[in-house]
Amino acid sequence: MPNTTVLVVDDSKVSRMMITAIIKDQRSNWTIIEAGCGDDAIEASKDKAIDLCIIDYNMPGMDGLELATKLKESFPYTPMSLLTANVQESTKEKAEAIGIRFTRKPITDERVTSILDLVG
Amino acid sequence: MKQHSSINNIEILDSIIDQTVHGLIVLDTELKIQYWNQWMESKSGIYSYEVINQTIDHVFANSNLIRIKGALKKAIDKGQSASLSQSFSDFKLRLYNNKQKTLEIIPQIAISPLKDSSKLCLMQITDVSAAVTRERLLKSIANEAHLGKEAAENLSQLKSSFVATVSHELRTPLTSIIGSLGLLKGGVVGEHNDAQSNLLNIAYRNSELLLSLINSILDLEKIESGTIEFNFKNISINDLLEQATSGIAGYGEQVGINFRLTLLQDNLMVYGDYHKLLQVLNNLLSNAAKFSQKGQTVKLYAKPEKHFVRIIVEDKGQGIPEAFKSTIYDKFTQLESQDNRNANGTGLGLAIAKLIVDKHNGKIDFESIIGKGTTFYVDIPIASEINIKKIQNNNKMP
Amino acid sequence: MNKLNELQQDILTEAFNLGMGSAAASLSEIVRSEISLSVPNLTFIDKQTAAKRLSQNTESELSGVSESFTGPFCGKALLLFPAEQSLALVRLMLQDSVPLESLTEFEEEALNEIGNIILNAGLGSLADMFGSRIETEIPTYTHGSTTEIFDAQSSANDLHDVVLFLQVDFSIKESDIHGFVVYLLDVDSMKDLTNLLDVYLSKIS
Repeated sequence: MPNTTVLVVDDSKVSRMMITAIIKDQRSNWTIIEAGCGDDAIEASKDKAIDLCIIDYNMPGMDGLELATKLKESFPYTPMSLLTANVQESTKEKAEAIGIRFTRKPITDERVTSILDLVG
Repeated sequence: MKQHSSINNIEILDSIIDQTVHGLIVLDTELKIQYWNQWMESKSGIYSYEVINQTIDHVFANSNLIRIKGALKKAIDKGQSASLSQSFSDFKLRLYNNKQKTLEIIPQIAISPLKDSSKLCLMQITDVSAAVTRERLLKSIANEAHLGKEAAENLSQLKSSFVATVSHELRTPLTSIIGSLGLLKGGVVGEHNDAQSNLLNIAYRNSELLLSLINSILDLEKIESGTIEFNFKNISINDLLEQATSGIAGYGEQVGINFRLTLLQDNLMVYGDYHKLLQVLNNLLSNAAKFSQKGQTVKLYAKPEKHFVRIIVEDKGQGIPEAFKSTIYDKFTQLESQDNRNANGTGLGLAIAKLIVDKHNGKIDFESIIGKGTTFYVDIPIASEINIKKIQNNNKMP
Repeated sequence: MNKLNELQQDILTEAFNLGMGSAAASLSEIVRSEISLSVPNLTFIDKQTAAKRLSQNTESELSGVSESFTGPFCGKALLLFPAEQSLALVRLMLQDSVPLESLTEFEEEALNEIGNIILNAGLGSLADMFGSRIETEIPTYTHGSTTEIFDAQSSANDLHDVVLFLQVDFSIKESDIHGFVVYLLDVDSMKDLTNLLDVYLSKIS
């Protein structure tokens, strides 16, 4: 059975570093795929089995919600969460509307773990 | 540590604070008041001993303190200062005293952490109630002025389109009338006797006059409102003068007036609208003819000056009376000419001429002596870079 | 001419974006409508370059807010807008369209508060990240040409010639307004800041 695969999308390299560090710490056998923007994320996830998506909202080009909507077409049952500095109600509501979680930055162990727990 | 002064005496420092014309309140981490200066006492009627160690909620009951408390906490916890303007929330501070007297002030509040202290912060209150009222008044006056300006512009727009529509509506039937009368007059549809001829001539002449009047009104309106298009380019003065002379020749023959043209020895260029300038010259020349006696000569020539060219129309006719000199460029001002030749005038020619010359950044003026004659001057700037730029700026749409 | 490496720049951008997120939330609450703020780019550049980016013509008018800060690094923080943009922003936020061509006194105060929230949020975010305390002083409204503003802020030579320069994009009620945040740092502060960034980086990797 293949390893659980997480897709981490954030234009900040440092943020990706922090998130992947926490994932490696908490779920050392998981596979992590990183992308710096929406297009790369779609490219990297083609023909793969993705079990979880962690997506930043503020990115150049496609924003996090647009990306999540596109990914849902290929991965309709995969749990996803926005992880973002943008804490406005409207963003939260939009996330709920497409059926994904909304988690605030700054990136902390607890917050990332709560997303990982979506898969188990 | 910054040393602002040499004064260490607590009494003196206290006195300075008490004479400050702003409210000063110091609060601790629990938002309890630890200092309440004299301004606060006078404004509220509440003495400092009554409020020391009371929380801010207790003292300013019934005021919306959410933003203030948020800022106070940030100052204490993080060391951040804040400026709370009253523009964003119309909060008023209500102050009570024992006698149940309430005072509401519109405050401007600055909050900052106190340095070198055990987590205290300072709240400074400025009473801006009067200033706010003044500013609201200022804004409403500005708004009204703006609305007034908009209304005036709308009115001007309406007037322009009204004039245009009416002129068009008047012109159309008038053109038919003129056409029909012309045919009748010319005997095209049959012979007519002298009495009939006479009547037809009168009708025809007056219809043409009417048409000319309508056209002039429309012209004037368009120039005044800036909706007419001026076609500026480099024009040769001699060319202009020649064209003007040949244009008026027919009229000259009709009324028995000679037009004598002298061209410039060294031709000059001006920056202008050819047809409009012709219109001006035509008007001046025909006026000169109307007010001269049969057989007289009207001179047309030009004089080069430093930055402009002066075009001169000189006649030896009846002259312009003093009384008319100030109103001559007004609309519908008409002189009576000796043999009634000006009966066919619209009274708008000079008004239009002046507007046209103004658009060219030029000047129009005259000298006249009763019985001796009149000389009209039209000064047009020479075509140079500076002059061209000035004209272009002048003619930018508002 | 950027004096930061890629990772250092990344951390600062993230920190400011975080700060802007919370500033936007505060501002939204105040005006009760959606506002979003983002920091598309950030660089360390010299003052002349910063001046050029602030306005095509360094003599054109800017309006804004300045506040001093002290902490592990010190200096002056400025939020600046081309004058017409500041008018547009304040009037949008006050929902007040006034036909006056310059800010009224209380509009200046409103701009002061907006600037205060944004500048504090940025510095607060850095402070949280480094686990230190950055204290800010009460903000003041400032106005003038780029040269005038920079000269007024740097008394004598205690400010470095290098500034931390960020563009801040406001999106409010279908209007887009761009402002700039400039941190004029004290002479040693740039080194202090980059040291802090490196310490932080080593902690997370």
